Amino acid sequence: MDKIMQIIETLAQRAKDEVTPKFDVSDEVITQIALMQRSRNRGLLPLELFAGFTAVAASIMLFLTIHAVENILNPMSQLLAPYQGASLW
Amino acid sequence: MENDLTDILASAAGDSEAYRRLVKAFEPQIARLMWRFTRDKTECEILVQDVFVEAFFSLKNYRGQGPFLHWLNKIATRVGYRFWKQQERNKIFIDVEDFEAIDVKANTDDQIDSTEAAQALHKLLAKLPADDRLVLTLMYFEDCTIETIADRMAWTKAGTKMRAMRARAKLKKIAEKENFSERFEWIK
Repeated sequence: MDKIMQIIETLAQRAKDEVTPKFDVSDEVITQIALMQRSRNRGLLPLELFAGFTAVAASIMLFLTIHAVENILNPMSQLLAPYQGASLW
Repeated sequence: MENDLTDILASAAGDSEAYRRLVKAFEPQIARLMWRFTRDKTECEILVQDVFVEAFFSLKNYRGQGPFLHWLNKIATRVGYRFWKQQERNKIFIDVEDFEAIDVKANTDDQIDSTEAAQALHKLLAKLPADDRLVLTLMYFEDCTIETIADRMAWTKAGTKMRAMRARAKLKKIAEKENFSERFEWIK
């Protein structure tokens, strides 16, 4: 091993004995978790409502689109189809 | 260990007091690891907090197959790595020029101050890109093997080994450029 790498290894060996700072973060962690949980729970209901409304709107659009496509592909079906307003008997 | 398991299960069920006990129990080890990622006390404290918050929300993924500390170390390493990546993206470069501030000449090999040694090594490693820096930081400061580093970062063993070799070569070049051997020539 060359000189430089040897120096680095020696420094690394000494660095392992370094006294590192001590913290007490338990209060901050618990507070942060509580805040995040609250914001998560708050965000859930509007998201579900929004998803519900979107699903209903998408279903309506799909129903209308299928009818529109059917009419475009085969316009004669409208002529042959019985008049919806007239009573059959 | 058994108490830890009880607290882990209780924490996963939402018991904040149990999680507080876990935080207190593992705080010193995590703080020590995060100190390798930054030498700023405030930043280090924030990183330690981030590790425990992230661990709490990932508790359901802990399968209890290995020691809880190993699992926490994995999260901590990734939090630290993310911190460096963010620094890189924001182009925050720590002043790494100040090797001379370390009064090394007055000492002998047996009396190198561990804090000064760590500071010098930290400054040198800070000149490497985040990936290389991570591998060497974990190897030098934490005595991690290639397998451990690969496992913590979900990298391949071969890739990590290659990265370590390249990182060492880069570090040597940087150290030469910084006249490291002259500054620390008194080290036998």
